[in-house]
Amino acid sequence: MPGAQPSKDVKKGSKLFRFRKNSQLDSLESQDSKVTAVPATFTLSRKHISNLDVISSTPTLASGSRPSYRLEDIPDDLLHEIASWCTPPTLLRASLACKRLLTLFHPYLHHTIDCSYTDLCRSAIKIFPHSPSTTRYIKNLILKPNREPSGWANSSEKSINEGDVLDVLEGIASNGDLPLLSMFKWFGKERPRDSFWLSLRENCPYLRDIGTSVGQKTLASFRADLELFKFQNLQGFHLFTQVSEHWTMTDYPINQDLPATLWNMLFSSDSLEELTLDGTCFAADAWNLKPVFSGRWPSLRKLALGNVWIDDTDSISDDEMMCMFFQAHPTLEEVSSLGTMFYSSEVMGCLLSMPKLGLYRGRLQQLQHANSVLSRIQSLDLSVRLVQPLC
Amino acid sequence: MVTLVTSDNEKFNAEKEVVERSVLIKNMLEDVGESDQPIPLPMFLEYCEHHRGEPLPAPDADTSQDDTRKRTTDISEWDQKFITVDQEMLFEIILAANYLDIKSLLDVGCKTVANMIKGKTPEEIRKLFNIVNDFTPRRRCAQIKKENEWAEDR
Repeated sequence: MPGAQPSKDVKKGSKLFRFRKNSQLDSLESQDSKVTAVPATFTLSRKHISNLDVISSTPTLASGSRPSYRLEDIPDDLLHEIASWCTPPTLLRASLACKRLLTLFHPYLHHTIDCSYTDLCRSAIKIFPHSPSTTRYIKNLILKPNREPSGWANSSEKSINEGDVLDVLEGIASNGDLPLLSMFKWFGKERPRDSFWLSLRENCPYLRDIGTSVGQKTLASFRADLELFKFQNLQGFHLFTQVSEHWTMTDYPINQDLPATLWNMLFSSDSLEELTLDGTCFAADAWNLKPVFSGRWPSLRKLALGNVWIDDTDSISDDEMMCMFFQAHPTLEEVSSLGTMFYSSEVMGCLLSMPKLGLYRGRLQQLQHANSVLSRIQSLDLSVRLVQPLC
Repeated sequence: MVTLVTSDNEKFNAEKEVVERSVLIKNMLEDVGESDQPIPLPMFLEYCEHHRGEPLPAPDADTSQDDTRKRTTDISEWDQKFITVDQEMLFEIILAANYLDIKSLLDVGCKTVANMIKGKTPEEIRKLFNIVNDFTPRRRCAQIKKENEWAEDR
């Protein structure tokens, strides 16, 4: 058995050790004075070095499996630690191994629930009202009603009434059964009715990261007094206009200003880490997003902007304003430009030279102007959804 | 400089700065104390030596950060090589890291176990950890699966 011999050697390395502080020595200083008697630098003895070499060449158990540790030997708190690193599919399969893992992994299994298409939303609203033991663990909840695994749902027979989904959620929240919810993202055809946000805010004290799609019917109805704009101290905020159908945009005003209450909510959220403002469904620009560049968020890590309206007549100072914005946010790790959103070459230069930027997502054309700075970036996502003129 | 003594009286000397990556040892240095907890000592020292100079986590580091930040199961190349050991050793390292209170090493160990379980069926996971299937009846499994449909691989 190839794995057996080296592992025996490895065992030698695990010595019972006792840490001994010379108790007759009163202080660390006096202990330090003993240093002269021992080598100044730490070295491993040759014996142990050779053991370690053996260790390095030992195949992992995954390949040379010799199950020797029994689950009973691993204390609960370490299984909790392990669970915290597992993804939901892994947690689910591990939970099915035995009762103990089911009990220990169950809370982690429900930390993040991503109902990424219609049928999952449907079964979630069936199960949730009867499973407070599940919903009480939910920290992150993402719902995508009226979508198919492959994309937007086309058939209306299969569609789900978004109001029903929201009713169920509101009921659960007001029963106090979503106490840990900290992130909620809604990718419906229309945004939730406004009272829904009030319910969540009143019943989910940890809710700090919210996102919603904005549909054709609700796009034009952004009022300043919306409950959606009354959250405080957000960590994440996301607005997007991804639509399933061709919108008729005949009467829709473009370059619409977003309510000042929205900007105030964002500007006063000092710990904001993620921000998405995306009006990509329009051939023209839906929202005037220019105020975003006057925001300053010391912890901002992810920024996704779509179709920022840029005033052509004053483009030089716009570039300066954007560069100043990026330079004021050295914490940015991911930046996405969505839809027809376009940065000038000067702004791209500022953007791509950000110290922590690890991911830029955007249009290929953007990079034509960025040759000189491309070497600094680690990964680029250019597999962007095709920008189709949906509207 | 501190001296670590193994149960068979082998002595290891290491700089205080190096071994203080273990919060347990750090605390021990502050209070007089002894312990008989078995740990793979050479590996512990090798780990601490390699990570010498890296900032130690704040004593009461806010764990809530784990929830908001996307946690990655990526392991650095050196740590990866370090942790490539057989399963028994891996668990000893995890137990030791937990006992010695070295968060970074504990994370590396637990990530490694998480990566080992990843992609395995419940039956393979049972085999891996010598688990006896104690679900009765089988129907229970089907029910759990149904209730957690959203978690399945798609």
